[in-house]
Amino acid sequence: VIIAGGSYLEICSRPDWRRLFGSGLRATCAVAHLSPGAKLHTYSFKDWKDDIEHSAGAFGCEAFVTPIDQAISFSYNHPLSTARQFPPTLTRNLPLSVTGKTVLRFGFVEGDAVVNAECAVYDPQSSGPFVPFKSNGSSALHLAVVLNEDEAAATGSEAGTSTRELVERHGAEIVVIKRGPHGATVYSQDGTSSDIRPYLSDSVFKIGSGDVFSAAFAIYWAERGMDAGRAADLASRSVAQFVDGHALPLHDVAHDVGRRSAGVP
Amino acid sequence: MFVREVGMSGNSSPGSGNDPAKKRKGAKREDPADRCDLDFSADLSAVNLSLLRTLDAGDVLSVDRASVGSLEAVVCKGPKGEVIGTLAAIEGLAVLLDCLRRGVVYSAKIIRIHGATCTVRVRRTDK
Repeated sequence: VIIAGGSYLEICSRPDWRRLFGSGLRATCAVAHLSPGAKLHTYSFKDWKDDIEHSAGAFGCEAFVTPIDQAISFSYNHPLSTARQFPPTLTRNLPLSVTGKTVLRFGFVEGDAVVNAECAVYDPQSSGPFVPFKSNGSSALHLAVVLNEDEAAATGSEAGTSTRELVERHGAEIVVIKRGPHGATVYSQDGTSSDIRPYLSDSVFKIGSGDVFSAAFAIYWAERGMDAGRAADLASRSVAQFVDGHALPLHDVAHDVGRRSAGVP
Repeated sequence: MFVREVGMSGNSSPGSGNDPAKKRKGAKREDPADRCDLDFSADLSAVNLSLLRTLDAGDVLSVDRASVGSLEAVVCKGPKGEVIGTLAAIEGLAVLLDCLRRGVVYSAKIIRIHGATCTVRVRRTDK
């Protein structure tokens, strides 16, 4: 898989935690076992470029880093709190260009990625105006869009929207709406939808859980060709595994029958 | 524009004030007398759980380089030389690697083990 996503400094006050991740690097590290040799296309502050390349390398992955002048960080009071971005105003950099069979594209705060893929998963990562996948020249034969509830509401994809309307609005075959502790819902082009359960973990370190959901979904749906509902269920299981101590890389949960569901969504 | 999802459903907001990135706690130090005089805490990545179960807080791991394809990684090893986990996704990782290449010796003392999480304090030990 090829991943296009940001690499940022993440700082949490309690517990004291400071790591270089961001959606792109985290997703790359997450899928290192599931998709050996995963490639990351990212921007990063110039002083972090070598750190990010070696970090991806430590997981057997490869990072293609476009250096930038701004050191972008996201700070949290605690893992469930809202993140504060620094600097508040960012320079928009020229878009990255990514071509591959299977691509996971995240939204960036400092730029963009133009993706050409056979199969793509798009996680816009913004509750601002929704930017359709194809609006920047990206193309994919098969596309799934992963949104959180705020993003879904911003695009008029709230409860009551018909499934067919929803997938057409996003120009996708599949739309997945993440509902945090309530699991997720998968909407398909054929007019069906399915609710995905959340799974229990012993502890919760939430920072990056959305990145991991999208990363796991991209592997199981886009790379392995699984049914979207099954792939989203495995992504939900992967999140439960991850949030229990920010454990990376992910293990293959395709045969994981031991984890308990947190209930019917 | 700058609101950004960071969890399964969370959002972020623009920050203000001082740059939090300048308060370094990673492998990089401000104005070091010797850039290899590192002292920082970090969680290990890619932890070998079966080996981790044989260890306790207070145990000391060695810090070494390991080849991964064309790149090098920094690993923490147990008493028999077995890799317990990797140091990755930290600021200054490249500096740490460079110092190891130049023969600087570090140890990693286990501060805490919680499930699959192993937190270590890495310090220079050849001075």
